[in-house]
Formats: sequence, C-alpha cells, structure tokens
Amino acid sequence: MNTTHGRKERHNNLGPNNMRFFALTCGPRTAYSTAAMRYWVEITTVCWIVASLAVWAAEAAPAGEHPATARLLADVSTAAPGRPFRVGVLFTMAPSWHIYWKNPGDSGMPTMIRFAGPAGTEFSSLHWPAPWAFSDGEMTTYGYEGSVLLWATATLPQNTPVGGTVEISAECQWLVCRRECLSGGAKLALSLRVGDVPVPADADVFARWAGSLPVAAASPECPVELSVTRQAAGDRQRGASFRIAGRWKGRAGRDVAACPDSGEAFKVEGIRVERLADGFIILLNAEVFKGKEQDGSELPVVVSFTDGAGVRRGVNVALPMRPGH
Amino acid sequence: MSKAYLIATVAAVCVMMVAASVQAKPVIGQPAPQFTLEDHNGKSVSLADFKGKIVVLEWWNEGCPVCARHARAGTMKKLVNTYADKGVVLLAINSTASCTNESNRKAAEQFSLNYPILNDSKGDVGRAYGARTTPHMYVIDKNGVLVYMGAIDDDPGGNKKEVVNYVARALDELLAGKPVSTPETRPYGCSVKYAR
Repeated sequence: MNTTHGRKERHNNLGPNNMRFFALTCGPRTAYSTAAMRYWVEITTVCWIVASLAVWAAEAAPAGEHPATARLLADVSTAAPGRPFRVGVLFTMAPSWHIYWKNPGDSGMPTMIRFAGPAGTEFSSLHWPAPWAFSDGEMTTYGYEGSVLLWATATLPQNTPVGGTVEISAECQWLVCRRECLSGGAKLALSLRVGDVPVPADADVFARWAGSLPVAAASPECPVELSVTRQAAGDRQRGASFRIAGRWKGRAGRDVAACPDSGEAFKVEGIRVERLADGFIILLNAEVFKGKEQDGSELPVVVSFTDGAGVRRGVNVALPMRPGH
Repeated sequence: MSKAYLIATVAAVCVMMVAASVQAKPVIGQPAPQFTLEDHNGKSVSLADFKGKIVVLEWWNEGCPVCARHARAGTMKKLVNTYADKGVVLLAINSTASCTNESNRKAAEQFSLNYPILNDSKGDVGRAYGARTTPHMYVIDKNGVLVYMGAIDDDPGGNKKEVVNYVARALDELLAGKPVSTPETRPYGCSVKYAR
C-alpha cells in the first residue's frame, strides 16, 4: 500500500538538488464511514511501519487523498556557521480544508513542528502568520486555508565545519478539518551546504509570509490605530471585558477577526466584531482559569484582517487582565 | 409608533432569550444538566440512574482522529479500569448528527470499549453541556454537581512524555474528599458535528 505523500512535490522547485525530504501523511478520507474507520486503523498501522522503516527519501511519493501536504524550506541553500537563517514548513491544503493556528479556538488542535539539526543548532520559537477566523455560527476556530508557511530562525553552531553539508529536519503533526477532520503528520528533512557566506534560496516564499506576520500596534507599518478599553469585570471573579477600537490609517481592511492567543490560561468568549465606516470595534470577555492566575496577567490577542492589497495581516495587542495593570 | 417600538422590544427580548437558551452553558459548582439517552444497545440511560456515583462524560465521535487516538491508547478504558470499583461511571456521548445506535455499537466493538456510547444525534444534550470538541470531558460528583469540564489531558498532540490527565486528577481529588484543583481547562479535538 502506498501511503507516503506530497502531492505537489514532484513539481516543486526546492532549489538546489542537494535538498531532500520525505513526507508522510496518514488518515481516512471519510471521517464518518465505519468501513473507512476499519481501514483507518490499518492505514495508520501501515503508516507507522513505513515511517519507522523509511530512510530519507529523495522525493515524496504522490499525495493520494490526504488534504494537506507539507514541504520543508530554508531561505538559504548554503548556511554559514553562527549566521541565523530561516527554516519553515509550507503547508498546502485542498480547497475548503484548514489547519490550525497556535490557538485553534473552540475546537481543533495547534499545528506542531519540531525542528532539529546538528548538535548545538539553535531554533527560535515558531513564527505564525496572521490567521483567519472560521465560524459556523456556533463555534469559531483560527487557522489557515490554502497555504501557510510556519517558520523558525535557525543558527548552526560556530564550529560547524565549512565545506560539508548539514541536515535539518522537521517533525510535523496537524489536524486538518473542513466539517470532518483528519490527522496528518510528516517527517521532513533537507540538506544544506555549509559555507563562509550564506547563499539565499526561496526568498520570495519567506518574504511573502513574513509580510503576514503580526506587527506591534506601535510600529510604523501597522495599518491601523488601536485603542483598548478594559470594562467592568461584571460577576466574573477572574475576568474582564474588553473593547478594542480600530481606525484604518489608510485603505480599509476587511474580514477583521480577534484571535486570542489563549494558551492554557484563558477562556475567551463572546467575541464580536462590528464594522465601522473608518474602522471597527471588537468586544470580548476574557477569564483566567482557576489555578492559572500566575500565567494570566496579560492576554495576547492578534487582531487580523485582510489589507487593501489582499494580504492577510495582523496586529499584536496585550489585554491587561488586572485592573490598573 | 410606540406600539411598533413595544413590538420591536418584545421581539428583541425574545431573540435574546432564545440566544441565551441556546448558549446556556453548565457552570462548575452547579447541578449538571439531566439527560436520558439510548446506549449503543438501545437501552435507556439517564444521568439520574447514577445517583450516589461519580459520572464522567466523554464527548465522542469515532470519525475524529483525536478520539480514535485515545481509544487506541486506551485512555478512557484505563480510567474505567482504575475507578469503576471506586464508584465512578464513564459514559461516552455521541452528538454527531449522523450517528445511530448501530454505528455506536460498531464503534464500541471496534475499539473494544468497556463503557457505553449514548446516542445524542439531535445534539440537545451536547448543546446543554456546551460540548465543543471530541473529546470534551465532564466530571459530575456524587451529588450531581458539575466539578470538571475541559480536556482529557494536557497533551493535544499525544507526544508528551509526562502527561497530566485532568480527569484522573479530578477523580483522585474527589475520592480523597478534596475540591477539584483545576475545575476547567480548554478542551481540544475535532468540533462536535451537530445536527443543523
């Protein structure tokens, strides 16, 4: 049974020929059929056997039916010891399927990536482009349709021998949903040359997604003026209500969403976005879970929107959970 | 004019009440919503049947890979094996619109579950509990009071070495006569596929 995938990889230009990767995705196409469930167990078993036996393949096998594929990229083909470069996983989803942001929202699971490299290689935490909010009227989730690049900054140790190659790997796990959900996973790897001077690669992909990274509200490139008001806590012991007012500095954005980075500490409810002629108002209620008070002094929120040029963008806002904070 | 205003106000209040009833959510420390549903053998099961016992509810959908992962790992079965003789009952509730007693029976068989799957295909019980994900866990104490709701554990990806099982911890605390230290967490998993 052929179970390893990467539907589009055959056509991908990964840059230099020394980049190799291998992808593995598993899961049933139909989440409701009991017959499919029986196959699911078998397919999963086979997947894991294949995963444990497979050595890095030069190219991933065709994609079959799994609705998400993952591809490992670096913004260099030659990395220099001690010089930071970016390494990311580009996820591509079939139409109407989405994977999740770091806070999936009312349901779902955060997309997970574990990068690894030669001993001593340092990786930053993951960079998440501004997400979309998906709502069915009952539940709201946050994530990405179409495609998304999730990346980290990597730095090879100073003593990495120049002239050789290093292998960077990424172990990925995701839940991909439309109405039904499938779980997927991939073990990806790529080889990079090591040299005194870095040689750029895939700059356009990284530049495109860096443009979607949320910015600070105070930064000059922030296209919206934001003001946050903390309102009466009501009867919530560990909670507060917030009003975030936004005014476009230039061309109005659309599809505004408030995406709370709730982590494990916060419960956020009643998010409402009202559109105004020159901006928007966001209302939300936030509460710190009992026992998580020490982690819950500020609630990070990404206010995301699509700008006049059609680019998904975001602004980071921190909501003070304690009065006078 | 004032009549129209009155009608509009009444209509607005009605809409708000309907909205409130739809969104009514259970509250920690308050009685858990009552229910009567059929299990996968067609037998009627009520929350009231378990008076004097601690009841654990798991929102379930065999088509959700997160539920399937826990079923294969035996997460819930272990709870039953550990706590059944201490007066704890586990019930799975399936609020998937398309589920039937027959599909639940097949799933219970397929995963060799040692607890029943109740059929809530209309979604009324799921909505009364505010169940959002599969799995979404609830613990109800001997007096019928809701004492925990949220995730099964702190390991959404199923790859942590040391996992905190929130339900087991709540049960240990309850059985030791202590208050539940973490009464609410964020659930994870697939969304409940409610009837629309």
